Amino acid sequence: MSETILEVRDLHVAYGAIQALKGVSLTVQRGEITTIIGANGAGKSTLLRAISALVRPTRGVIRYETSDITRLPPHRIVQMGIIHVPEGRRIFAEMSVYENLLLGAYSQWGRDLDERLERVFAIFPRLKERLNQRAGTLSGGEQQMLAIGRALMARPRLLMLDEPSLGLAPFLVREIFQIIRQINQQGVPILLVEQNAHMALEIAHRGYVLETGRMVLTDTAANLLRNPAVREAYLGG
Amino acid sequence: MVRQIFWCGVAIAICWALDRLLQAAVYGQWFGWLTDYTYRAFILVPLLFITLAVSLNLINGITGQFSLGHAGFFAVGAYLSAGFSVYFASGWLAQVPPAWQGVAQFGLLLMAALIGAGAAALFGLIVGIPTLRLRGDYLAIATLGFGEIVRVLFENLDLFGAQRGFTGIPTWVGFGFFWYALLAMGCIAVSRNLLKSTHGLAFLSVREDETAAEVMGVPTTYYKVAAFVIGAMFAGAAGALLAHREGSIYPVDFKLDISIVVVTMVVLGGQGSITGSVLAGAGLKMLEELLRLLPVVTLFGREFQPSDFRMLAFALVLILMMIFRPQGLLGHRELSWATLRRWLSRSPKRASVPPAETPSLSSEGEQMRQP
Ligand SMILES: Nc1ncnc2c1ncn2[C@@H]1O[C@H](COP(=O)(O)OP(=O)(O)O)[C@@H](O)[C@H]1O
Ligand SMILES: [Mg+2]
Repeated sequence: MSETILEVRDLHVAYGAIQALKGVSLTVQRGEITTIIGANGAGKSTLLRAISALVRPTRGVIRYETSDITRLPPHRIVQMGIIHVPEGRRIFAEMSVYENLLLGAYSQWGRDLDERLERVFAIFPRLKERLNQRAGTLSGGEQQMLAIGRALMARPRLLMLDEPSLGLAPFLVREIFQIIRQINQQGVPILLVEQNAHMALEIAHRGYVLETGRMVLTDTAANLLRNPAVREAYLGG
Repeated sequence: MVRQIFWCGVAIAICWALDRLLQAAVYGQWFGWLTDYTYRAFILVPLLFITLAVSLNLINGITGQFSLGHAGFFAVGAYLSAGFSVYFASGWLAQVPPAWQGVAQFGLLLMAALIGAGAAALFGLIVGIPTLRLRGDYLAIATLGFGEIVRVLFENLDLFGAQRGFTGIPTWVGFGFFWYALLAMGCIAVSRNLLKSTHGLAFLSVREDETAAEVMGVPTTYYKVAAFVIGAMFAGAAGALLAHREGSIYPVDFKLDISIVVVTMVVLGGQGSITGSVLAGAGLKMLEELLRLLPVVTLFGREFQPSDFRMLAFALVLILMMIFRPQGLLGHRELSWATLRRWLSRSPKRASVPPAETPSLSSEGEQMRQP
């Protein structure tokens, strides 16, 4: 019996005259990985940005657990446990790996920081080796690990990942997806945006297909993988 | 906390002792070159500009908001503190018995400085909030406008002497070194502590990537306004000291040139580097003074003082800096005991590098409070 943790209803977002989202609805169930697949420019990033209040919707409602968070400022949303790993990682390149991780914990400052740090190191041992290194000098894969590690420092209750596989070598993509699944198995619900539809649907429980600002399809991930239309458009036939 | 108070006391004592020593040297003509003029030009004014540069560094360097309005905060502090002293405090002081004059003067100066700082901080808040939506060039233009409006306002208020200048301000700062040095040290200490705390990381995160800071839950608006307010406060206090040392202030003392010079200092020193702001703040002011010593040149049939070209020189410095070393002379580096020790221990004899320690979080955990 699954339970809804996030619900987006009839969301509209515009950038000036450009309607990026035209009435999008979606739910995320507790304990699950939910993925949004869609072509470049479909509005996937915009949807995540709207949930974390980086852009303001013109219409629609975003509910998290029992509260309406549509109008909250970004830092309140982070405090509630919705942690967004933005597209392109956006680590603080001038700061050390350690400082990046500390900033990750900004919203949940507390006594168990060392413990959280150890948990991040258990998942990403490489970050521990690079702790005092400037984050900008890390490789692409390590930067993605840092971005996710930094998000974990905030004790996420819903983790939103925007294209974590972007620009990574295939073996690293597999490693990152393995880690996403591992984080989910530790009980963190995940909302995963991906262009790499195949990998995303392999690890997700449920999937949504976004096309030019509209949700055109939703089903279990397993069904989507078998769906001829999805195979045709997103999985290369 | 006890340690901070201890060092605070040490700093005050040192400033006071140096003040006395300098005073004896200047008035007693101990050295030929140390005259009232060189003291003012090479010690006092550089100290003032250290405060201005380090305080602008909070706004411009640390949160990355490009402000061209620092002279405005400087002016607000100078004029409002002077207004308080001229119209209220002087009258109060007259009623104090002679034996208590010294103490009363000290207290009133402190009050005037706090009023100047507070008024400037309030203006920082007033300017900081609406300009939050602005970035880059637009923020620069808006703050430039603010600085000019403030100056024009004082230029037209008879209460503050208008164009004739505001004169008759009690010169309670006296010789000056003590107060100027104390303010500069206070400004450096506050900046340093801000940067050392985890709040410092939050400030820096706003400069580096505002969106990333936002998704970390950093209330970026709060930090940007806080930087404006604290930076403005120190500029205001500097203005108050200037007014109460010189005894008179003029609208031209707060022209746009000042804002530009201070921005040049921050950029030159490396945006975000306190050490850089200190060095560039003092260095540039001394250089400007040295320019005055050059002989007059005749160009196109007109005589020019080489220091007339200082704005041109600053513009050139800024442009060259952006081309060859956009991070400033020091970049993000700071001078501290730790770096000094590292330099010293980097002697060739010791080849082995000690392993980097894993910093522990527990000590820093207490420093950060949720705003
Ligand atoms: N800051 C912006 N300003 C204007 N248009 C934007 C902006 N960001 C995205 N868009 C537009 O909104 C649409 C959706 O973009 P985005 O959410 O980034 O798509 P996706 O993440 O699926 O590739 C695109 O047409 C894009 O051009
Ligand atoms: Mg995107």
